[in-house]
Amino acid sequence: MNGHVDAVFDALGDATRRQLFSAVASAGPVTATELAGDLPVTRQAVSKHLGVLAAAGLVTARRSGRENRYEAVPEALDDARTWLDEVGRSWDARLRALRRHLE
Amino acid sequence: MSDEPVVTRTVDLDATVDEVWTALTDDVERSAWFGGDSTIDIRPGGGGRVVEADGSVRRVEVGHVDPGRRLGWRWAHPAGGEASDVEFVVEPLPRGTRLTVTERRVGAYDVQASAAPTIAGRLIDLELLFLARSRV
Repeated sequence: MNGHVDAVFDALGDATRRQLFSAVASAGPVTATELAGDLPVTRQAVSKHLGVLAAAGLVTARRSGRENRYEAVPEALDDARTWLDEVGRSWDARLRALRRHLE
Repeated sequence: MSDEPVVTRTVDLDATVDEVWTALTDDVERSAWFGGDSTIDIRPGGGGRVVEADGSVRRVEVGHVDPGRRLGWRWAHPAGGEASDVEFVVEPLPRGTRLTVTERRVGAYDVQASAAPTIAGRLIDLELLFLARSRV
């Protein structure tokens, strides 16, 4: 658990980037130009958002001809999911104990 | 997966608002259900710490206090280096009380050392004082 988790949450905190991440995940290796064709954003904006997703480890880029091809890295979500699971489980246990304490 | 670093839980308790508020704010009461020694100075900016049932220790900084209604604190991850904000919202029901807990990750942050040392903390202080004296 570290800054990586924060980078993932920050990256996915933006609706356009979330949409972009799903698009990359379902399309497979895809270029910014191809993605911009399917989304209501410019190619430049797509590139910028892909940069943020790549910095968070959510996508990787591979050079292919004149453009990068982007691929999703679903495992990058694991630490963030672990954080949510652990915090949720902890509160479930604490609140069960609170109920026993009060009732 | 949630897109935000937020976890929310709601429980309806067969207890009065006062009883739930006391369970959150009174050190002895809180320690009883948290599982370990818990000392928090319940006022904005107040410090403290909680020990969890598994023995891990978290430093706490109180944010806001609206008696009988809302309590917010920031606490450190037991490993340190990161923190989250916890908010408790207490609402009366026709029968019983609803408690909603929200924990939001704030990322890298160091919660300051406890302003209200626990008994264990005080004993360590005494021990250090004793050691310092025995060297004189």
